[in-house]
Amino acid sequence: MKNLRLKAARASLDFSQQELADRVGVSRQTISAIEKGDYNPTINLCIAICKVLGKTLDELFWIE
Amino acid sequence: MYSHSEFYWMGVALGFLFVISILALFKFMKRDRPLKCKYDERQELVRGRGFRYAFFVWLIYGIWDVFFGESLTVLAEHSIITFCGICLGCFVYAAYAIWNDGYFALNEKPWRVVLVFVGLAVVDFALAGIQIGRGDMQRDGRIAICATNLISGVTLLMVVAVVVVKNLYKKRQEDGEL
Repeated sequence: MKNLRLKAARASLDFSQQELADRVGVSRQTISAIEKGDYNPTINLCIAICKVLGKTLDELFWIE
Repeated sequence: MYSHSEFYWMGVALGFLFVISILALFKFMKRDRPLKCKYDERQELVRGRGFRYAFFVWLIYGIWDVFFGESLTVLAEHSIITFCGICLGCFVYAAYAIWNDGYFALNEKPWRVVLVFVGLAVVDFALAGIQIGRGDMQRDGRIAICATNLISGVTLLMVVAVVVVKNLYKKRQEDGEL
């Protein structure tokens, strides 16, 4: 399932996938795969992404 | 007692010298950037899966070799047939990892790796050319062990081809997204 909330949060800070990837310490393809829903990140990577984007885990990764 | 000729010892000494010079080169290059490749968690996963696929391909090839490899020995020496299996396994691993963006490390420039592969392939083909010129490629009408250079050269070029196709595919996909 696509993670549109992550994409929106990234876009709201005007970050490209590459910028977010550099800040988190992963490849651009990994960010792309998370946004597309092709890859489920570990909790450590989720936390790192949340810290960079200033969001909580619930806001970005919780699925109802 | 069996004794080696002076050429053997010269070869050993040159080998040591070569390894030391390579290590010195790496040490020199290490000054401005870390040498160890860094992969993120998804890349590690992809690489692990690629290794698994490569291992099973190699295993299946090995089993096939046990039962049917002997029939091919009329065309090539058995060592060549075994070497083809190793190259096939390496190719499966590299192709899977490249296609899933797990081959090149975060701190690595892909074009440098591709350049090294192309360089190695050129050296392999040059050596193969020399061997063909000497007539060493065949022994008793069968492909001899000297063909390893040719096979590894072809494998390296196949890996480079996967990189090129993947880049073209990625570019087309990105153009489609825009």
